[in-house]
Amino acid sequence: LPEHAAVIAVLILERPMCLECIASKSSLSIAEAEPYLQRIGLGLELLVDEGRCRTCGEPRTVFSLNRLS
Amino acid sequence: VARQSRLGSYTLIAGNLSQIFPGTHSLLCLLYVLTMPSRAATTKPLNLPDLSRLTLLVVDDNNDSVDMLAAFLRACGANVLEARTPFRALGYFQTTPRLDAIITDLAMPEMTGVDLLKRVRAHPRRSRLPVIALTGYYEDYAQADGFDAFLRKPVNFDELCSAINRLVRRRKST
Repeated sequence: LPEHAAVIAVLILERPMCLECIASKSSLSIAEAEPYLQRIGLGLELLVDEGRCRTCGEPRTVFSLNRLS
Repeated sequence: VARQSRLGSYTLIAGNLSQIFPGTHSLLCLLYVLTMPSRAATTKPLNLPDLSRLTLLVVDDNNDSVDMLAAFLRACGANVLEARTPFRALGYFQTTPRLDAIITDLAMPEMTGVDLLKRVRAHPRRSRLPVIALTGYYEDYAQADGFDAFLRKPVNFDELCSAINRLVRRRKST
């Protein structure tokens, strides 16, 4: 796989994260990380929300995998 | 004396120096050994469904979909076989001794997931295998009968794992 996609998917598995933090934690640029998010969203239910990033704390667009509570 | 603190675990060792160095005055020595917590001990395990000991076959002509699903199912402990075509999936029927469930896309060229299901149900040894359909064209296939579960793509990961566990358990109990 696209190992980056797997890393990103695990990053957002349990907490909403902004694109900047996703890119930083997966050692990608923002431009590189965005297509991976789109690919994840094709197969798995992805939540895109306006909220606080659980990593940097900034209010931004955050991404997470939709989990059943 | 071993203790836990906010910084990590530490050990206090107390002793009498005069026993080690005869002739010296009796002196109580306290040694404070701080052990930083190991990374493994502090890392919270991911809250993933348990699919260990299951062998699952993922069938999808979309590389991203099959890669992503396979990666997640493996993260849950499953042994995952990947098939980019239904024909490859049929090949696994002959070569894989153990198969617990099939997760298949429906809209695929050459052979649809519905056709694959018919082949499974007609198979002498695999006819009762749980087959889960995943499709982005839910309305087009809403009338498709015979699948053990029918999930919309993009799929909710927990919903998929829950369906797998439920169907495998049901098959074992019958």
